[in-house]
Amino acid sequence: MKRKLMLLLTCLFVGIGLVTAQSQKITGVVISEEDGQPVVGASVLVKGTTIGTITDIDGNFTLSNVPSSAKTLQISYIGMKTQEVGLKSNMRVILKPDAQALEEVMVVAYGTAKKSSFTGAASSVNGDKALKDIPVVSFEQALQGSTPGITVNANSGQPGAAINIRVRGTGSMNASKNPLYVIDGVPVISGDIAVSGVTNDSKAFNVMASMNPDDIENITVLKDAAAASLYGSRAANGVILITTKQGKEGKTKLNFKASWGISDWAVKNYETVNGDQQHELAYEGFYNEGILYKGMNEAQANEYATDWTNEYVPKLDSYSDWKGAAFNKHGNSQSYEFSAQGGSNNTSFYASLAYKKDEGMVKTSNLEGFIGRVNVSHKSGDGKMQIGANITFSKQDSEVASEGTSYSNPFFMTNFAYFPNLSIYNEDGSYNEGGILAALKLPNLIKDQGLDKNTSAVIRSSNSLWASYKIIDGLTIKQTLSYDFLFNESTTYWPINSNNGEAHKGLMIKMPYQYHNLYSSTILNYAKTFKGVHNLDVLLGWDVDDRSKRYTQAVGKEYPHDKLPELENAAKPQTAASGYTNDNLLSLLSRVNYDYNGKYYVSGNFRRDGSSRLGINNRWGNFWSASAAWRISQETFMEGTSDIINDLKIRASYGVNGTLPAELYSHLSLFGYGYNYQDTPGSAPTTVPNPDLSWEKNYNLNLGFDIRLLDRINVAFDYYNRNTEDLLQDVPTSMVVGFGTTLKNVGAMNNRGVELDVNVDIFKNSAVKWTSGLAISHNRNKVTKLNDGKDIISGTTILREGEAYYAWWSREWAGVDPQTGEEQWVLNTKNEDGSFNKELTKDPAKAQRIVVGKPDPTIVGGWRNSVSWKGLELNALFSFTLGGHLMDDVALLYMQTDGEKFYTPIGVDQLNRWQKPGDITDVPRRINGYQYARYGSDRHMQSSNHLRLKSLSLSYSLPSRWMKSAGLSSTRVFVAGNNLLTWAAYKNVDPEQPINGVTSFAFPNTKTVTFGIEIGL
Amino acid sequence: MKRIYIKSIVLVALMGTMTFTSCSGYLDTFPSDSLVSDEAITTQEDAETALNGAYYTLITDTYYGNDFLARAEVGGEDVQTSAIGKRTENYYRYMYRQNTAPKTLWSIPYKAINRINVLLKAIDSGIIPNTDALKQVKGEALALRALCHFDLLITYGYPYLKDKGASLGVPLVEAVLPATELPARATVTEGYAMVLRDLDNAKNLVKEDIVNGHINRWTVKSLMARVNLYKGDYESAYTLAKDVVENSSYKLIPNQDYIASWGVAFTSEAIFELGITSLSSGNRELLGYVANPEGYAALIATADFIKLLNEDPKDVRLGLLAKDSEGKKRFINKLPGRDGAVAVNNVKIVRLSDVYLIAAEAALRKATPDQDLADKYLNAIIKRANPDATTVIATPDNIMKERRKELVMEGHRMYDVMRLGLTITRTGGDHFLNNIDLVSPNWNDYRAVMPIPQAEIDANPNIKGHQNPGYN
Repeated sequence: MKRKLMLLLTCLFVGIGLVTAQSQKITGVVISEEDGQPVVGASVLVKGTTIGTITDIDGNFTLSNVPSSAKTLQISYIGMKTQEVGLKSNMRVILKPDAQALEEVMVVAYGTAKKSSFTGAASSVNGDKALKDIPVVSFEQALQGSTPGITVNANSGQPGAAINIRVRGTGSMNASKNPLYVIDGVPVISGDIAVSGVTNDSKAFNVMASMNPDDIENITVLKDAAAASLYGSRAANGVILITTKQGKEGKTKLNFKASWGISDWAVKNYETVNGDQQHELAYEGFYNEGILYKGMNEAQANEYATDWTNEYVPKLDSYSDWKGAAFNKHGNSQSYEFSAQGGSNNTSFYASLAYKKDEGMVKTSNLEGFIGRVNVSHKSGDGKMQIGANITFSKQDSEVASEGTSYSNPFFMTNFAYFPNLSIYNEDGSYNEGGILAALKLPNLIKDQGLDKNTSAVIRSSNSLWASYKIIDGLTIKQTLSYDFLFNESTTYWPINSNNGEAHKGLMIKMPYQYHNLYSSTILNYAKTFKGVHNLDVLLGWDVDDRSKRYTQAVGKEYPHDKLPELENAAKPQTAASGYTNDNLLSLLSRVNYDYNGKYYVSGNFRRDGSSRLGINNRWGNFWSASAAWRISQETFMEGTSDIINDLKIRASYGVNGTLPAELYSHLSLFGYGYNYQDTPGSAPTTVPNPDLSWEKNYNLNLGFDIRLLDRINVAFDYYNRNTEDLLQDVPTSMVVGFGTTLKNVGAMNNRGVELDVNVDIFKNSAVKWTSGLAISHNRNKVTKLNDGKDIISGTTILREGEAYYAWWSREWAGVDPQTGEEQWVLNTKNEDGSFNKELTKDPAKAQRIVVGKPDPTIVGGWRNSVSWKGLELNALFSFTLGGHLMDDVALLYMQTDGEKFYTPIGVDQLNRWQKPGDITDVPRRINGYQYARYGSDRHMQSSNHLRLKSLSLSYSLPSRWMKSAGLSSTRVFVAGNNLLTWAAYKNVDPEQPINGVTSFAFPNTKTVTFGIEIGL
Repeated sequence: MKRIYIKSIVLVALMGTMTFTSCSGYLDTFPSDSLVSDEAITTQEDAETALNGAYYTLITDTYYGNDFLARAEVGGEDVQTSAIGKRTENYYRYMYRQNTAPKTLWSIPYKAINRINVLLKAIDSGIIPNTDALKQVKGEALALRALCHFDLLITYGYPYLKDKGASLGVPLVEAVLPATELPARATVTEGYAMVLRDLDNAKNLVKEDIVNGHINRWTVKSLMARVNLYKGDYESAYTLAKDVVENSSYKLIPNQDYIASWGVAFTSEAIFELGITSLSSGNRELLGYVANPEGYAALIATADFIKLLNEDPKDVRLGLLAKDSEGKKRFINKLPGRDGAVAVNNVKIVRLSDVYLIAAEAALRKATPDQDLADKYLNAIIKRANPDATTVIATPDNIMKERRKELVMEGHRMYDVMRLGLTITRTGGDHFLNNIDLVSPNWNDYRAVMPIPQAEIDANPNIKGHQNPGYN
């Protein structure tokens, strides 16, 4: 009855309106300031009336019958500031984001948290900003410079190369040094999963290549104990949390993106002299050898040098370009992606399918494959139950060219063996395999190129299902179950006619490896506010992580031909092996967060882990953290300054987390087989049991503050001190017991540093918007304890208490004597008082080794910029390091040997050699057969200071009115690049080297340029 | 509806955890290719498999595979390293010092001893039925343990006769030791006592039957004869060696088969041969490959030895000399390889000819010499080499000379010189060192024995102060 009355009344009023007022019709569009896109579903209300509507999918609205008395429109949308604007026809309303209402939420361990309440140290990278359009197969490379406290070093420039990531320095010796990866709440396998039956093989497959960077919504790096301790025994090296995209409520969006790119070396690597110079330098070497080593007079030396040089390093009309022949002109890549997302009130989805192909600088270096993903979530009608699934499938094939000092590595051979005066082809067009090549038993790589196959075929299926239920107000239970299956079939095939395969008449090694990772996580969460000021958040959970690996290896040789490279066609089956390993982890975890009125925060984490990798006496470990924060800006005494200091928070945390041993069974006393005698089975004890084997423990202190100034400047600062103790070391035992070493928890290391992140909205409320950020960090790494305090020296590296983990052990070089052109070294023998004797010597064998330096930079940083104007958007990230070094072993051993061998390529620096008394140079005289060549010293330790345009992308979104007429919702064209510009202190090599700073013949970094188009439907 | 939701979640949660964790041993995982040691030897077959693992260890390239034999050869007068930079050069030049001495020459015999002790511990636990077959395994294990200790003693301890065994020998290991144990060196006397005790126990356990590549009672007796000979207990050496020669079924290889016999596995003289087969253990660091001109071409006969062998131009053993890598006839081809692989040669640890000569030598040196037996056995070897050779009267000197001719490349010469307090004299010929570098050690020279390697000194404070004199 009442309703009927209301209806009647409404009709009445409308009727009155119709007759009493002149009405008008208003149309307009609502646009979001953030991205310039139309706002769908914004509420539009004529102020002072009940007349209103909602914007359509293009952000348009139409209001008819607006009384002429109305003056103002009120437009509102969740997360945006409500705006009031004067009425006019054809309105264009721009909504600004409401920072207050939509407080920033960040991804943390086992959930999310309001950024303002977070008491730990973590950095977050927005996928759409940092990863969009960046042409890298592995997204991790895009992290370098984007956030402080993290360094990323690739082992090689080949597609899919292994990557070393350090969060706040190196914290282990014999266990993992890389962070734990967690994708959508599930801890996953990370790193290089390539396997090979060939010793020292360069094969690599970074398993994160099975992640499509465009699927990533956010990457958060957990750095201190407060942030990471909830991951307990695997958190000491930091945690990388990856969140993938979820569908958003609203219209279904379809997106198609295609890009094509080319790549080339990022810098000139080891530029070598030309043929004429090679001839001249060789002559000089022979001449000096004659005079200095063979006691010839000038005429004899001239004749000797002329004869040899003309025979082996002749001057020619045209020279051979081995590098040009060995490498592609450039690599290339292509990528096609299709994605769809959308949702209703209760259900949302995100789905994508991508095909990516990346071809490196040689034919046998590539990565190709499909990656698909579906993320779905559903909410029950009463909102209490949620269920969802994150499912990915990928199939990738990778081929890796040989690296290292191998005859099949073109980068090695073109720097070590092939110089321009050596011809690639004979006059009849056949491959040159005679002369010096034959004398040195070197193959002609151009002939051999691409014959050997070294591949990994990787299939991955990750399936994660989750459900949550709100039991009572504030109390939620969430269950996640995940099965991650990875299959890697590794194949090596050396055909009959290749240099490697010849000796075996063809050889094949097959190694199919399976990885099974079952994970279950059960989390109870209680969050409640009491009396309006006491905020409590309690979490309790238990995890099961069940990993197993199953492997097979089979080898067969002697093939009839190369047409059917499968094991069954081999005449001689060789070894075969198979097996499996299990690695189980059980965990109990808890967290309590409390804050008083958004001012004072305290937080505590506790996790108890039990691992099958550990000895029975130390199987369970406890990990915890305690932290607190004070939001000073919320205090009443700060009220007056709130226009200047919008937000200020200081934080402190302390706690312990750990690292597990890398070996799965090193605590057990095991008995192995294969010790066969006379072709009958044999067995033997294989390990020394250490039932006391335990975690490496990481004690982590963090102090920091976050401040927001003038509504446009954000600063975050952190100081940390990481003491890692009980580091695993192979401790020598008396060999009389039957073994040589046993794994024990004895070492310790310290990392200490500061991090600064500044973000400034330079132009904020204008048509041109410019945001700029600077991430700077400093870390100092020091080994603090070794077994018995003993140095561990291995080649040019030393582990010594008080020195950095990657310290170099070598001679101190003292330059070239300007009178004679001889090299000089500092003696560095110990004087009686313990000081070093700094006298010089010309005999390197007499010079003692000392710690000459380390690779670690003093400052690592990045400068990021984002500029937009209308549809144009420019993102640029510069990365830089200062104070670090690299040890150029390639120069020492091959490119700068001062004439030692006349039959190898020569680095251009050698043109500066000493020639006559008075020459001031740092390159000694050239002597063929130089006796002191390749004596390691800090002569080739070089600065790794550099600034690099790490990534750059420029995109243009075509005006939406054009699109509309074409039936599309958006079209964007873009051009992007990696490593486009590099300014480095040392020119011969790429300044970004592997983490140990030692140069090698791994393929150098490349730079890439990609063009693409993205179309939205 | 509510109930169903919550029930299903709890159910999944329980499934997710309990199914994996309900069994108490969830965190006890084991590799698929190994057993936990406590459970590894529980049957006769397990014991035999573990015994094979011990034999396998002896073939390691730094033990009987190469180094242990090569050192005794290039350290003597008859064989030399062919050129600078070739394998074995440091043994030839007596170059090893504490910080450079190969640790595996020391560690591998102990690794074998550990493997044997693990086996013996399992046998002594009584878990396997004590049959004759098990006794055989135990006897072989004890004999191998004795052999390993003896080899360590003559490598690191001074010859017994130098000071009646009063100087330091090596640590003696009669049980499985924990990794934390830091054993000290026992005296040479204690070492010989343990070796002979183990051999004596072994003798009563093993059978007389010949099983290729394995130890039998004749092997044990021959080893006891050798140990007693080194110890100077010539009476025992004589009795044991004579027993082997006269009562075993081993026979000297006749003259016409002599050269060919070197390419054959398990001849009629093979009292103890380690079997090497291509698949399980043939590799490029084995003596055959190291010596062979087709391999590393590292070992050649000295000019002195070639002269010695030429004393009798009709000596069949001259046929062993083959062309080396330079085309000169200086390669002693006792390791021709089998099945086309020069690395694959059995290791002849005890050969009947050796036992003949042990008996002959002991017969002369014992308190009441047996000249007849010495003559008989020595001439048996001489006339096998050349049936037309004139009969000789045995003297200690011509027996030693015959040992050089007959046993060259089998790892005896340096020890034969040292055990008797003689001096190694190497001069002229193809030696590539001058007289100063070409040392002539005897048992008074510190280099007569090897230094305990640096790694052991570092790890074991109980040995640290007890390096062999002269090394530091």
